[in-house]
Amino acid sequence: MIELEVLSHDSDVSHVKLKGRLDAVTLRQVDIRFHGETAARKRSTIVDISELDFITSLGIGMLFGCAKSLRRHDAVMVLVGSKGFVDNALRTVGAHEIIPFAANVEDALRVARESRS
Amino acid sequence: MAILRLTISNQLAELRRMGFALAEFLDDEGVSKSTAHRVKLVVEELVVNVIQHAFDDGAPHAILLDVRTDPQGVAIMVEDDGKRFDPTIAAAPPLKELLESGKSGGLGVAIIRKVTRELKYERTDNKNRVRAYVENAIRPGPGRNK
Repeated sequence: MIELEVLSHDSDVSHVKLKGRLDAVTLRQVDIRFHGETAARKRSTIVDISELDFITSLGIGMLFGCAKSLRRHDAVMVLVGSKGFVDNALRTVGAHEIIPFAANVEDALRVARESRS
Repeated sequence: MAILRLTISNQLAELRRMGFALAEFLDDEGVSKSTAHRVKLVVEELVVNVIQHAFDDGAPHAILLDVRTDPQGVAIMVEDDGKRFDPTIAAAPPLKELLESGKSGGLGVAIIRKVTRELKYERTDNKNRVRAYVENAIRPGPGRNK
């Protein structure tokens, strides 16, 4: 089960939330919409993963594919609320070296807006 | 030692059934959440890799999962009759390069190598057998978490 919630689409920053499991099965349910709500908007995007319970390499690949696409448009993806097992999985592969992690939405907004300055 | 043996077919839809059985087994055996999470991650990475890459004949194939607990950790064995694939020597590009490429190819192998203490491969009777061992997470001993 995976849920993608759009929290806001401001003029400069999008804010979405992933909830549940991001694995081989759920990826097929969410990847096209996730791309549409993030990379396709070409705006910096905050992705709240505080309620993401499980992530595999395919899910990490989805995040990085969109992050890379955003970078091509001088925008960034910022992960917020990373914790527990998901945080371990992301850090295991060095995700924090590629995508900024923020402790809260305020910090994430600052990082997202600084990327455009 | 407790054993879970499960045979699934090479369909992604089978992952749910496998996931439920594995979760129930690990829970029943009192495996810690941290260890159980790493076991689930390794099993999913191994089995998804088989489903997505081992076969190109469009025919149904059986994938055997064997999971055994012991006091030190959890031993995993995945067996399939697909194309030869040795994750112990498979190319795993530098993680940064993988992530910057925006592709996940090779990322699963990298995760498996990071999470497991042992990873072994053998091919006999035209079958791949991958054995992985996930060590129990070390719990803080008395006086260490004051």
